Amino acid sequence: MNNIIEVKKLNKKYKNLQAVKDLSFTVKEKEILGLLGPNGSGKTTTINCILSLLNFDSGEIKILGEKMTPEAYDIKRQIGVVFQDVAVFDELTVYENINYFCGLYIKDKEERRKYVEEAIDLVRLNEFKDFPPKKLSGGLLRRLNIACGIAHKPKIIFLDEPTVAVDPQSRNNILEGIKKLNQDGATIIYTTHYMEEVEILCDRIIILDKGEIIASGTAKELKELTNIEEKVTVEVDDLSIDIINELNKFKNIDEVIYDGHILYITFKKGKDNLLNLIEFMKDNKIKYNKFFSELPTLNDVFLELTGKELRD
Amino acid sequence: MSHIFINQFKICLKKKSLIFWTLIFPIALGTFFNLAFSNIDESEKFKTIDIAVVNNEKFNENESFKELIRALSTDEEIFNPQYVNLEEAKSLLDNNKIKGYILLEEKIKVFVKENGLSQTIIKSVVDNFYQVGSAVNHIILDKQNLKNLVMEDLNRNYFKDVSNEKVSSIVTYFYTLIGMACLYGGVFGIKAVIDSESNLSKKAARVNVSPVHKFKLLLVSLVVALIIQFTENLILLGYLINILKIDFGNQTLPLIILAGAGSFAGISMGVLIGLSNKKSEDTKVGILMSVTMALSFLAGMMIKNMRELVDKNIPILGQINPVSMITKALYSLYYYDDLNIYFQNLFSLIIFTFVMITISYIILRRKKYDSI
Repeated sequence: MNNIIEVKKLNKKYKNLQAVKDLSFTVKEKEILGLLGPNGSGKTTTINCILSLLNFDSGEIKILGEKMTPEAYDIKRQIGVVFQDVAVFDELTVYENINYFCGLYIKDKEERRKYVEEAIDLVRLNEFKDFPPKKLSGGLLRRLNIACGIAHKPKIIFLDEPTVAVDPQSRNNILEGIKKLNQDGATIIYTTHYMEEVEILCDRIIILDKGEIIASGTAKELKELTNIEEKVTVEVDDLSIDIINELNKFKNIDEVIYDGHILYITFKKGKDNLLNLIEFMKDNKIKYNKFFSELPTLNDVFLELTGKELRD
Repeated sequence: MSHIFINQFKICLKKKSLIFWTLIFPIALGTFFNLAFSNIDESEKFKTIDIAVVNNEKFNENESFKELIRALSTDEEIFNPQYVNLEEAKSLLDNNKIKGYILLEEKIKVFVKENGLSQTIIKSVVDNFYQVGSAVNHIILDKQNLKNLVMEDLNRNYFKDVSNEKVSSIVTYFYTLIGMACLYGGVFGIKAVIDSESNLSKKAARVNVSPVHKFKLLLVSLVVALIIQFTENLILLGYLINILKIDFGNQTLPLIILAGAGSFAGISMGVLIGLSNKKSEDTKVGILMSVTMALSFLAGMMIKNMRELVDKNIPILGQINPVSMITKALYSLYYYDDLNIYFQNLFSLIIFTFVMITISYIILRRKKYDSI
């Protein structure tokens, strides 16, 4: 696959704050690349530099093989952007807003009408197309914001935290819509601090912290970076100190926490962790209600790499 | 471009705050001015003086005086005389129906109850008659000339500040109102800038990542703004002229050109205010309103003689104040027959607009921003 976007040694400073540091990455054609990081990690700044909205101190940015500049109108024609903040006109209806922004790219009225209708279908705003934005809920507004950014069917779509403060139903609609756009051939750059979303959506993930790439790869590859095998949660009452001490001596054990009702155990890499735990409980006649295990998340990766949680 | 033009039109016309500040508020303020100031104008107008003349033998014999009173009441409308007997004259004066009465005996006597301009004018007419009128019987002095001599004295001493002045004292308030309305058009300029500069709004960022040049978008927005603001100014002028009956002279074309130039000046000032800071739209509009109010105050919107005071003490302030320029240009259309002062102020307004646009252009040339 071709590289659609190439970023080399990008550096951007806001006064004394290094917002982006030596950032280099590529985005391949038709892939969904996730930029994952906490607030202030440099995701939006990176996007704005790529879009030539922001000055940057050094580095090189190419889109579709050409250097990206504010006058690169041929490149801009291929791009769609959904900003973090809702950017629509309160004075226009849902349909008129999408039509207005689509009209910046598509001149032909009939073609535009078709594109606008398809965008409305995609974000499922059919019932609301004559509504002014002020009458839409937060989730519907976000969907309108997306439709305004993608109605002209761009080849490359930048989505900057499009699901912030969105209800679960709207979030699912949005994620489904993004998958559909990708299936239709769009290359997508998706920034978020929700690890679940990048896991569901992205082919490849770049984890950013303080403007630097701290890890990149597929979700599976990233999870392999952590030393955690699995995390086990057991609902159990009246565990004695002796039992807790015994658990702490277990093979591959990383951490044991007991709050008097729930037992949390984290296992490092190793085999038969769950089997050994179940046998231990059976041998010690420990009765439990619920028992479940989960694999490490991207948050665990982030925690291990930076010492802090993604949402800190 | 027609797509952007039509939609920008729709957006501007649907944005209630824009229409309020640029049309509704000036009309409301004009109506308020009319209610508040019309009495001032009335009070400053000369009113015919009610007098009584005792219709006795001496009066009937004095043809010159009879003719003077007639001329001053019918030709000049200075007196509204009643020809009565002495008792009736006294009664009218006691009941405040007249300002004074004139009794011709050996001498001509004036009786008044109190002192004031009206009473002084009655006395003055009698004094003048004594000085020049007595000659009528001795030399051949035309009766018309007698009236003219009396009127000349009255004009010189009493009427020069009121009836001899062509200008209604309240029109200045309405002229500054037009100036204010023109500068309030700056809200359209602010909106146009916010919608095109990506460091000011996300809508502008969305436009800036599109293949449309931001100058084209800004230009279309400003043309839309100019059309709306110009139309609103014409509506305001129409309202003031036709409904409130404010006199703007009778030179229509210069008036329309001034409305257009004023609209352009206001919008260009709004553009510069919009670009001057990264505060919210409300803050920018607040700055525009405050600056416009201050300029309108200095142009005489609240105090009639303020503009003359500023021109006398800080002339530069009067020369760079666009509200003053518009007010002076309107005043000149109303007061003077030639257009010299009008063109001077129109030219100043164009220079003001040019300066605003030049500074704005220098700021607008940025294509990328350090932060958005």
